[in-house]
Amino acid sequence: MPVSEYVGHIKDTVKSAWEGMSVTLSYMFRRPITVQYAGPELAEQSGDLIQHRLPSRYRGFLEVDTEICTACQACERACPIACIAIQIEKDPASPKQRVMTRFDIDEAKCMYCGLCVEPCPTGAIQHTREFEGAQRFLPNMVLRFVDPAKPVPPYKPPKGATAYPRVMLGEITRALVKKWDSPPPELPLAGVGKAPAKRKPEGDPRAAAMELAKKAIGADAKKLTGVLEEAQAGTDCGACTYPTCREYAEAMASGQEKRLHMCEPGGADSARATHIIMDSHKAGQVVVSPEAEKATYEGPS
Amino acid sequence: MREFLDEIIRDRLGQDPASWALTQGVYLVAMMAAGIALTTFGALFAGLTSWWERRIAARMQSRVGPNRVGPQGILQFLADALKLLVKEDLISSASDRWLFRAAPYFVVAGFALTFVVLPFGYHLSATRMNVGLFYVLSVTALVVVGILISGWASNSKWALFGGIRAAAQVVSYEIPAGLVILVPVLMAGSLNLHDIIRAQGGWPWDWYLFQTPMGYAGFFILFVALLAEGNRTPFDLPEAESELVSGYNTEYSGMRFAYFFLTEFGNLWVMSAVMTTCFLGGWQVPGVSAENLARWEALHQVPGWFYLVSAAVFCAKTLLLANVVIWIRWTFPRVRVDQMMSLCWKYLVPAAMALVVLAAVTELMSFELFGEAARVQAPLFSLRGLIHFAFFAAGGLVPAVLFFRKTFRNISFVGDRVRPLSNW
Ligand code: SF4
Ligand code: SF4
Ligand code: SF4
Repeated sequence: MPVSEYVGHIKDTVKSAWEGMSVTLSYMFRRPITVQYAGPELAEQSGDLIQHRLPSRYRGFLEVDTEICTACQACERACPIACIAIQIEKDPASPKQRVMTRFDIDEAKCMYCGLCVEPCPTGAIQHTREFEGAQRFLPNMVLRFVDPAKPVPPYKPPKGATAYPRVMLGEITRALVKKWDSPPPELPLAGVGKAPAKRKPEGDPRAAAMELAKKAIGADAKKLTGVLEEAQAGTDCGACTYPTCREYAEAMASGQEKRLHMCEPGGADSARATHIIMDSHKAGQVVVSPEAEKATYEGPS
Repeated sequence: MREFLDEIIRDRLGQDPASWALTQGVYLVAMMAAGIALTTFGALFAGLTSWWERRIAARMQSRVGPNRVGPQGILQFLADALKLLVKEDLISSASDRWLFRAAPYFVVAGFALTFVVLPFGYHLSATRMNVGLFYVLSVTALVVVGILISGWASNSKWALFGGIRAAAQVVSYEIPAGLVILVPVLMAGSLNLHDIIRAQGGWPWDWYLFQTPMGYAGFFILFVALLAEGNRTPFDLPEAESELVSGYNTEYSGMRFAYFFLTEFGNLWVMSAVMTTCFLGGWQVPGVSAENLARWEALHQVPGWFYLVSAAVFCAKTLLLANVVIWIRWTFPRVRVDQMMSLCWKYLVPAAMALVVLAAVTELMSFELFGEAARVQAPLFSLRGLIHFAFFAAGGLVPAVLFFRKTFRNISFVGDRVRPLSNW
């Protein structure tokens, strides 16, 4: 190492220390850029909620407006760590009607990734700017959007709607977040643990598909639509690019839709059943083609 | 301390310390009391520093910092300690259990033992050991033993890397530190920390820092070397968070982790106190000259306020230096391992070597020329005094003024205002 380089290193060190330390010291004489957090009580008194000062895309606690939730469970499936628990049952009053008896989000487990917000067809599930949820008892961090005593029927989006009425973001969640020292809920949580409503025919999915295929033989378009609809998962989640299962079934029955494998919740079972139904409908007898055997869920693209 | 106790036994208890049966008992009680007081001081200092450092760090990053527990958050460290106390004491099953448990004690011992000799003010220290400086250097070496043990015993690659790095680093930097510490020793002619301080004076131009170029350069070399020995940023390679999780203490939790933590922050005091002693005039009070002090001592009439003021002066200097260390931590990025090694072996060691030789030659020459008088601090209005003052002005005052001017320019440059106390 030449002497000039050696001396140069020393000079550089002294100079960068000189510069750098004067910059850091200068911050000691300035006002910090961060906002002083007043704490929940103080904020409530002054009405100056810190939440309102956060950027609007802040990913805080989740909120579900059950008024516009189609109970499609797309959010539940999207969550990589299973924070969301949705339970759908047949309404005992009117057996055709499905109701949500449980919609829990465990905010203590949630990593605020936002993956559940993306697939929601109606924007029912959203991040709020709420973040003050410190709890003495961890189970209190589970936000229960559906009261098990008052089941909520799924929302049926009007045809062609692109926007859905939603309450002020944050109101529902703010009401659900408990005081930090509130007593823990009784465990197990009410309404949890009952057998989930069966969305698909009981027993062997293949046998069920055969049953459906028999019904499809010689059926008219309307009846075929009904049969096809039954083969889908029936959550009306919109993953198939159609707003509801019914419309997807209509499109397939009319022959406009050639892709028979787009029901995401139904997965391979639905795809296989749909193939068998369509083949049987065309052939006039129950057939299980090799393609049908291999059918599995494939996205719209 | 022994003379002090003998005096008490003789004057207050009316016994002859040489023959009284309970003398040893009094010694023992006094030793215990001093030990507890000093370790408590160390722990309190470490705790408060951990809070203070977070506040300073926050300000330097334009944040506010912990200000919730107690006034301005000053009790934050108690909350942290409480949290660490109730945490589970985890020992991983693959670790070497005995060594794993023993390591924190080595570290704490290496830290606490230094307080045996560290001065706090005039006549204020547990002992006035005649090899004090040497003792400090030796017991601080215990810390690295503990770190190495913890790295090995954890049986974790991160901890092992951290331990090995710490060993390499501390062993390397002991050399420039040990060499350059000889500069004040040569100038004072003693290893006793109190004697080194007494050889200096109260005013800044009487400090070893501003007396010779060797002292000036030596100050910075010792500072860097002690930074590295204390594993402080920019030399915190043994616990490099971005690479090694937390380095040698990765596997520790609860109180055992707290010991490492305490030592790290407590070492701030140790290194600052050593620097203050060696180069910054220690507890010398400006205006009280060596003759003054000698007269008081001859008459046994050292006034009480002098003890207090000297302690305040010493603490003020030490705390100032500790703040500089904190300031450095939040300014510099971590150096690489090769940079750390080359800084030590290519720059600090040769420079320290040269300084020691130069200092020895200078001392020898001045002793030959002026005799013992060369060791005594000259008054300001004499040739030597004026030279020292000029050196102080050139090496201390002018850079300080320039530095603060630059700092305030940094503020106005970005269009901000000086508001030092807003939003604390
Ligand atoms: S934000 Fe992410 S982690 Fe949280 S519930 Fe939604 S998908 Fe799950
Ligand atoms: S509509 Fe939205 S909130 Fe409701 S289940 Fe589907 S994805 Fe979840
Ligand atoms: S058919 Fe479409 S809307 Fe119905 S469940 Fe399947 S993917 Fe969702």
